[in-house]
Amino acid sequence: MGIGKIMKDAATRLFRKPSTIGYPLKPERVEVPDSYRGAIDFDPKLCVGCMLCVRFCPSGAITVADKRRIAFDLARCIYCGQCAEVCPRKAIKLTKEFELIYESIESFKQQ
Amino acid sequence: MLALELLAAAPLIATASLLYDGVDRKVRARMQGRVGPPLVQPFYDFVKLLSKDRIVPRASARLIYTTSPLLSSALAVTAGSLLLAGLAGSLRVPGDVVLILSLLTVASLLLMVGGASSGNPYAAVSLARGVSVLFSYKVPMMISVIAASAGGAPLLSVAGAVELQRKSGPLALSSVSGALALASFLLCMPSEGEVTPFDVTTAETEVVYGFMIEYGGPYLALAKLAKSVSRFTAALLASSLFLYTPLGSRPVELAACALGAVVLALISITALGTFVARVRVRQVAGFYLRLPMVLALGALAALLLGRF
Amino acid sequence: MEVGRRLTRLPFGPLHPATKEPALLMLTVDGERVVEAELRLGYVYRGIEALAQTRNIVQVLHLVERVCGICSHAHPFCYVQAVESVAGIEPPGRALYIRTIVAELERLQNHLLWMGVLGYQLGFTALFMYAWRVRESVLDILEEMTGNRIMRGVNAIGGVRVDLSDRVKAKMEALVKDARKWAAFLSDVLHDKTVEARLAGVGVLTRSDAVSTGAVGPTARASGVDFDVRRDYPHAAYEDLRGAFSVPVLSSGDALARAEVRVAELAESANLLEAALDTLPSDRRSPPPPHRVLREVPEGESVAKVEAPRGELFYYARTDGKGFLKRLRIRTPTLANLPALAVMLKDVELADVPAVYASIDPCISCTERVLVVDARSGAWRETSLRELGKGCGAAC
Repeated sequence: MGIGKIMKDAATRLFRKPSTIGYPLKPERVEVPDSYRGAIDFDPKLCVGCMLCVRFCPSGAITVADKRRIAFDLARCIYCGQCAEVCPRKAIKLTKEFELIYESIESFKQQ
Repeated sequence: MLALELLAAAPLIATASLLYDGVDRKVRARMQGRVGPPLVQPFYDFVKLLSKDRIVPRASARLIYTTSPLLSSALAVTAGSLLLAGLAGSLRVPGDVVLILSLLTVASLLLMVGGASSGNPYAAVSLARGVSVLFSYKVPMMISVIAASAGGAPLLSVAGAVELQRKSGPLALSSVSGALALASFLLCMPSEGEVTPFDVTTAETEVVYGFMIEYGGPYLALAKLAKSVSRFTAALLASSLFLYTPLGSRPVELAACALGAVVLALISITALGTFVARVRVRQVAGFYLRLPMVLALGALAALLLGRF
Repeated sequence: MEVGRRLTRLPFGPLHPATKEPALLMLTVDGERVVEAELRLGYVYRGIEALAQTRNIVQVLHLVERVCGICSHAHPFCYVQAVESVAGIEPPGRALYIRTIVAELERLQNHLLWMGVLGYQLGFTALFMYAWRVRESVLDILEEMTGNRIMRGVNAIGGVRVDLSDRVKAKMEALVKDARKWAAFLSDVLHDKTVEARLAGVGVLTRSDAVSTGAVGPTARASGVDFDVRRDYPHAAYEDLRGAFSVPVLSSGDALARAEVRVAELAESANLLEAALDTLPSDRRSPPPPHRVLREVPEGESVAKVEAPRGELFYYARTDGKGFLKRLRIRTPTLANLPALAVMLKDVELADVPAVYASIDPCISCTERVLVVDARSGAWRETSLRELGKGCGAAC
């Protein structure tokens, strides 16, 4: 009897801790793994200007801004991590930061 | 005097109904392993919906479309208030049980017709389904209620049934007829509450909430209130007609009766709705003609046999 | 037409709780009976194939991963095979195994998701939430292994971008046991009378219809078509793992059979995972750097196919020798299954439409490449299921 099994499962669930959490209202941290691909962290001091990241970014989120500086547009970014992978100096890292909420589209642009 | 009491009872039944909806959603969520919404979520929903724009489809029959949620919720609340008045002992009219059930029926019908008047084809399909469902479960429901309240004086009244049970204990526990009638009534309750497995009229995946499809804003708030009050009134009716327990003082008994209603609703609406899949339209009519009908008629027969 | 019969046109979509994705199923109903069903697509066309011609080979890898959110591994999995066969790149054995393992985990989560959707379609919330809850444990492992729940970015041309740590491997071994439990549980639920009553005999697709409409995957296997890319055209590690799994095939062709096939595949995926984890090779070699890939892929063309959770997924890639693609063609399993849907929907009850629609596990955003362009006028026109049924060749 499948229904019997479902009933038993539901009845025991009633008294167990729920699988969901009250995010973001409850101050419970959502843990993401170390390999998570979140917001981009770029260290301009390490950059040698090889432009490989610009060439391989699938969404065109990485551009060359004025004064030959690399600029990232996190609104265009698809967080694939290809830039971090091709960077010969490891100047680009993808952090564990995933709560990327900005009030304007302009503030997604980072240098 | 009675009018005043009914006016006082109206917000009470409305609040209790919405609160039960909150309990229902919470318990349902916990059975599925979810945190679920806060208990007062239905109140938030109600207030928010009330504050939204009133949108009336151009193709609708405007007057019916806009007035039926209000009328429907008013009728449902009246039914609930009458029940409360009967429970409190201030309403002693023969046949008020039948009146309560009829009011609930008209409230359901009004809402369906109002929704169907929107001109949406889904609402039309839903109305056709709804009418067939309505008549299939209302008959056993009515018979079981009549069987339950036939012993009291005044005849067929909440007050009469309560008086009887105060003397001889809960009907469902003290007589075969009462037990059978309760079983039949409980099977009808999911249909009254329009929940799975019998929610064929408002099934979201099949008919996109059926006759409710076009309602939004204040209309939806009232339509949901009507549904919610009907649902809880039916549960409270079951609790007071079948399981009214004499505990000495009336306030304690009333509280126990309300608690009983919540427990009954949790069993036949919340739990059942979680455990089973929705049935087909034809299966609804087929189902109610068999088990609940047999139980209700059995209750009536047992009552008559016991008397003679 | 009979006299006095009132036919109603009921637009099932494009925004409908049962279709989830924007697809319009125009139903002609006689009371509760569906007389005719016509599927119209074109609401989420994204032009991915055209976009693929404007990006280099490595960039396209991330593009095709985003064709579908649920089978986001199957697409790059298939794409890298096509590109690798043009370039003659032989990925290391461990990489092939990791691709296979992720593909099977993806099948697990896809089928669990699908079971949940089926439960939802039937108003069976306990099943819905059960399936989605256990699916989370698959996603948790995938997240720990690759960093993300979906869009996992496992594949690279000539290898994989992630490795399988011992900790994750141990978790996967535990998951294999759980998956068998889930499969047993779900099988019991499916065979409960109340569920069986809703699914048995509903939306029947006969074997000959399945063959003539070109159905693939679980949809075809539930109708007695014994075909599975993993077994019949083995790729990646499936060649080595041939003995570890069997292909469940049923003959009744109804919605229940399609559900049963998927539940059986849960258990088979668990078997495959177990065998793959047991024999995981240890030759860790990182894939060639992307700029070398661009230089090394010559001009050429190739096809590849994989068994995506929904059925056979097909890629055609034509490279230009300069690191770009001249043409990329994707044939998703849903596209192959849509003509079968028209057959299934004939004469069903309105109440069964959601379950039948869901039973092919349609993924509309995957499929939206069927805008038919009239070569003479250059005009785009929407394509209906009936046209697709007539000759898939014209639309593909």
